[in-house]
Amino acid sequence: MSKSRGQWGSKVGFILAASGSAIGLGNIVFFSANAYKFGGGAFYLPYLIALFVIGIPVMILEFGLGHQTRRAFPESMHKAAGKPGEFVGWWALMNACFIVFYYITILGWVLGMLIGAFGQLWQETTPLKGFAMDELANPHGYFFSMLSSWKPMIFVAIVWILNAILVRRGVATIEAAVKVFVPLMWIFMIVLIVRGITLENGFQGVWLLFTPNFEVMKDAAVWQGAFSQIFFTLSLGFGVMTAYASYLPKDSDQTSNALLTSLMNCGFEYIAGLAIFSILFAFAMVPAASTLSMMFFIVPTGISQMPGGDPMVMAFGLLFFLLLLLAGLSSSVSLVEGLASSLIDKFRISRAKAVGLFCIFGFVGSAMFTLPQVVNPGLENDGTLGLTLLDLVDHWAFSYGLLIVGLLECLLIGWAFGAKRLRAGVNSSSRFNLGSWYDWLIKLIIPALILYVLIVGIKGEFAGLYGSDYGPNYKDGFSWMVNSPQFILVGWFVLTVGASLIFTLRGKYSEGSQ
Amino acid sequence: MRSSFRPMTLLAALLLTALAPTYAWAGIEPAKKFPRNQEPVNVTVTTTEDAPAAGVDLYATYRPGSNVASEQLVGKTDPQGRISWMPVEAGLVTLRAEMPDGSTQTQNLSVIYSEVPIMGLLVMVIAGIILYGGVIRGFSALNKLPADLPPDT
Repeated sequence: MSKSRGQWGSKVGFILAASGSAIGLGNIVFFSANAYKFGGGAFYLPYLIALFVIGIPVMILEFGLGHQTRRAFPESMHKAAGKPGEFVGWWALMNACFIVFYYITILGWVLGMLIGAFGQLWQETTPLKGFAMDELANPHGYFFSMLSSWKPMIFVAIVWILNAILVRRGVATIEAAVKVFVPLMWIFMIVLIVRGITLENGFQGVWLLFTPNFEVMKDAAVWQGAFSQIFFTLSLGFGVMTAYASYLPKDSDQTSNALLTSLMNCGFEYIAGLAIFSILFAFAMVPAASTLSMMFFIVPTGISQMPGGDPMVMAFGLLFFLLLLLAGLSSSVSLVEGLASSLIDKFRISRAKAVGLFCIFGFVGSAMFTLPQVVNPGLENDGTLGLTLLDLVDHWAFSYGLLIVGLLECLLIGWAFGAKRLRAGVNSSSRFNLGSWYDWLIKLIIPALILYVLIVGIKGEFAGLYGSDYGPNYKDGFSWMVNSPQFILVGWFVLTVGASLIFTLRGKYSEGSQ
Repeated sequence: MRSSFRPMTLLAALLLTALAPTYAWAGIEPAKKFPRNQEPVNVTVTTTEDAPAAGVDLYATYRPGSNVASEQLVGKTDPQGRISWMPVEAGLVTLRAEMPDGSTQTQNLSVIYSEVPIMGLLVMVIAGIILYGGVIRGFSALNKLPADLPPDT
């Protein structure tokens, strides 16, 4: 007996959920940090090109796969390419698992900052314990004081409970939530833009974002950054889009869905870029080219300098952190759903059990990144053990894991399942038919581009493994861990590959399950 | 059941709170808060005792903190601690002075564009049309279909 799968209540609900999944913390802050890192206008044109060359085609692939197999990612990949495919599917989810652990830790910190935005965050300094300095100017002081306490553990628990509530009835509860969250996110972002561009010379920031610098565009690193950004921002390589598309009826138009979801995501980044760059320009703020720095220090510092007095500062501070929380939640629920639906599909357990187990396990995982021990009292780097672990794990799981999954899924679908077969399935219910060019994009061009980005990244690691320069600033007690980025690399690889192998080899999918 | 959530009402209310003017700042001080690209601006460098820092090397880093940063040696300050600097690029800039005592002073500032950059305007408009035109077209196509999805059988 097969239990019927849930289904989206409306097409708009599906689009909002898929775009809500894609629109996350990365769109609001990572895009702007990345765009600045690679020269603003020099980045935007390569980014737009990457959207059409790599982003939308892979989104069509993931939607098409879920739609044709009507299963979560591992089983979809199993149906498409057998056991090797299933292994890639589980590996994508194990990576997503690591990412959701620290993603929810970050959301816990966002919740802490949201609470601080009611007043404490806007005071001049915050006293610190355990660090080399007795106090530190805000927002840095507030942030590190919070990180070195156990409070974020409570915030993380709250965020996991919210996730459990939002996915408890699958697409029904997710759809209800995103119908409120996604419009709210757009509204809050529009308000931030209006505030940003009406600051003195705020609009000049817009030119900084869009004016191309062709000299800088000759640098291959700019293109590498743009292609990576598109992959990450569209939530590709997580298996989420396949899981979401598996809940669509058989006659859904996957080309239009992919186009709409991708354009909405990048449209949101467009306005997020306008808001953030106008604030950067108006207050001459130099971002440290890191998401967390932009999110917790740069933008809050800009907000604290806003005219209109304390009420205005508080209002925009609350607005910004609420926006981050909503965007983060709409993405984290999709990751939790992607994992939960895969467990349900393979091990035939109830949704309540799958969600409950995963959320408890997830809380323990997130707690690792919340560890408040001060390991870097001088704050030359990350400060606490939790933040250091997050930094290192994020580097491997996010910068490499997703791209490797993307590469393998394109090769397996392109060559083993057949790009032509996938295309025929997509075209059967689409208004816009994909031509044979799509096959070559999936089979050759996109894998070659991903491989190039990976090789450039790995070449950089030989010059100095990520995190290997941390050592001298850290306390002895944890130096074995933070002095050994190899430890984190091996740990991430063994855990994700090991768990994927176990999930692949244990249990069997029932034949013809629909 | 229809939701009572009204996004446009909330947007209008929030927009009403989103308008007003700006602030103030402090070692390396340009004569203008927002220097203009390709227009010379006087910069005064002072020591921590607020005395003019004479003979100090001043550098301008364009796109500071990015992977594509570039540095320009502006020159040495005169006995009054002043120097004339002509920005060669609009955007974020960090001015850095190497002080005689070996310390370094920095000041971030924004250099405004001397005129509206046509290419920037073009990219902004074209990107906007592609992204939002596509979204509007996509949603209108969705609305042409029945609101409720067919049964999943």
